[in-house]
Amino acid sequence: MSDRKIDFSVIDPKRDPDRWNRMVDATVQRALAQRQGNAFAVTLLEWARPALLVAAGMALVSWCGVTVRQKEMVEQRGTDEAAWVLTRWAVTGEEPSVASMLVVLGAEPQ
Amino acid sequence: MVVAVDDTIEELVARVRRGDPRAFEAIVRQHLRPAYVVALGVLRRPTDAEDVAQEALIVALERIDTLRDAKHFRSWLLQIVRNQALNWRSRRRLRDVTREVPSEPAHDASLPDSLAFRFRLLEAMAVLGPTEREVVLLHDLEGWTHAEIAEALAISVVMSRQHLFQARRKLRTHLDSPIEDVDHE
Repeated sequence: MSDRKIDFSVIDPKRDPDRWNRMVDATVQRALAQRQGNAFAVTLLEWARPALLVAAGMALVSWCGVTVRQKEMVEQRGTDEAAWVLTRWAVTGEEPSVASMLVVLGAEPQ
Repeated sequence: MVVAVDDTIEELVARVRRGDPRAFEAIVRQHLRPAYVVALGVLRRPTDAEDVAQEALIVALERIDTLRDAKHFRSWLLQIVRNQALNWRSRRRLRDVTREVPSEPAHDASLPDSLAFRFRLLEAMAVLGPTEREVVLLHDLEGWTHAEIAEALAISVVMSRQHLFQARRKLRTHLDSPIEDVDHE
């Protein structure tokens, strides 16, 4: 009695071949689109890391440049001040203050 | 579009991973109905089962890089189908309770014979256990062998035979008996 197959053809989606093919095609198209979308996201992610490294490198170089320039400006200002103090002392004979002398000798200006 | 039906599942999975559209089609053609059958085993509504089968295949193909051993694609896919179907059923229960959806007109005398038989068959499937439903559908509708069913469902060949025997017996008893109401869930 239980050796014969049950007839499930009434619930077989392949019973209507056109509809079945449309279902297969729709599934394939959606799966492909999903996969390609993911591939694009993966590519973006793959590029994101090197791009981030490059940006970080550029930021570092730029920061170093600004720091060096600031230091140069401070040194330049110190040199200018020393020259001015000494010239004034030589021309007027007026003794510079202790603070000015310390700057001339290389101390950081207050 | 040419479908390479002779390719092994390992080859097809490798080609899908490379994005070959023909491999996508081959896999969908080979596995959409088994996916439908498993979804139908959980949901017992053909239209819902079709939707779930499609969704599950799309999810599986999207996540195919996470499949460790390509030769287990079939059982891996069917597990995804089962999970998707269970989620769908949970959402459907909530939706049906909210909307108070009426049950399908199973015993409408005005229905054509094939449609009436379809309703009786779906009702009869309610008397089967989940594994019995999957086994009898995979064997009698999809045409899988007991070895294939055993591998896909992670049961022994003997158990597969036993489930098939029991399922057929219960279905025949129910289909031959006078019409009576069956619990739909």
